[in-house]
Amino acid sequence: MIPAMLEGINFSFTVSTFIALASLVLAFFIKKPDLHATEEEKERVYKRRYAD
Amino acid sequence: MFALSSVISVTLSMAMFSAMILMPISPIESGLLMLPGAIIMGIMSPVTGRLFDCYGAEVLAITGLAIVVYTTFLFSNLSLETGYFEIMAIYTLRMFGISMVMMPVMTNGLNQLPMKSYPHGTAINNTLQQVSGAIGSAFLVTLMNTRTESVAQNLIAGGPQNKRP
Repeated sequence: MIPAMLEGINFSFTVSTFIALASLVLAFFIKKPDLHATEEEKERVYKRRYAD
Repeated sequence: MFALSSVISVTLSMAMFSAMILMPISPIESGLLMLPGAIIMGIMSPVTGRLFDCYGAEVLAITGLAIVVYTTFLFSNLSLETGYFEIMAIYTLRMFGISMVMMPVMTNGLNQLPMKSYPHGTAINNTLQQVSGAIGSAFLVTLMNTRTESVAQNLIAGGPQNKRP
């Protein structure tokens, strides 16, 4: 039973590896935020994107 | 950018919480196994904060996630010969990688929001983390059980497939 369980755990971690790999791909799209943007500018961008 | 950071944090939580559940050892042993990783995470928090100020979130996230991918891959090759301290070392390294990703990515996402939306952003991130952790654990434990069952049936039937060299 133990080898079967080990196989199950390994399979689960393999899937977990692919989930982590998906995160790694997404990390390449991270951009540095504009830290000098004023609150008004942030508000304007936020409203343009999310407001009704 | 906030949405992207939330998605990264969701996928990472799925992978992180599942590793804590999948370890097939007694509660006291698994608690001791996770202790160094938790200590490393605590120590790394201020260090990661400084690195975030110097290099930004992208560099940290890519490095940290590369470590997470590698260590999770090492976990996918466990055998009966794998020692307790070997698993502990891999898990500690994995938590080191996670500490380089979690906080910088979340901070980077929150920095995009106007100040009045910070509480909402934090609440969304925390909720998503808990929910994705629960979903990820359930999903991966289901996969583990299904695979264990099918391999056990094959072994009982005496089939040659799924036997490791």
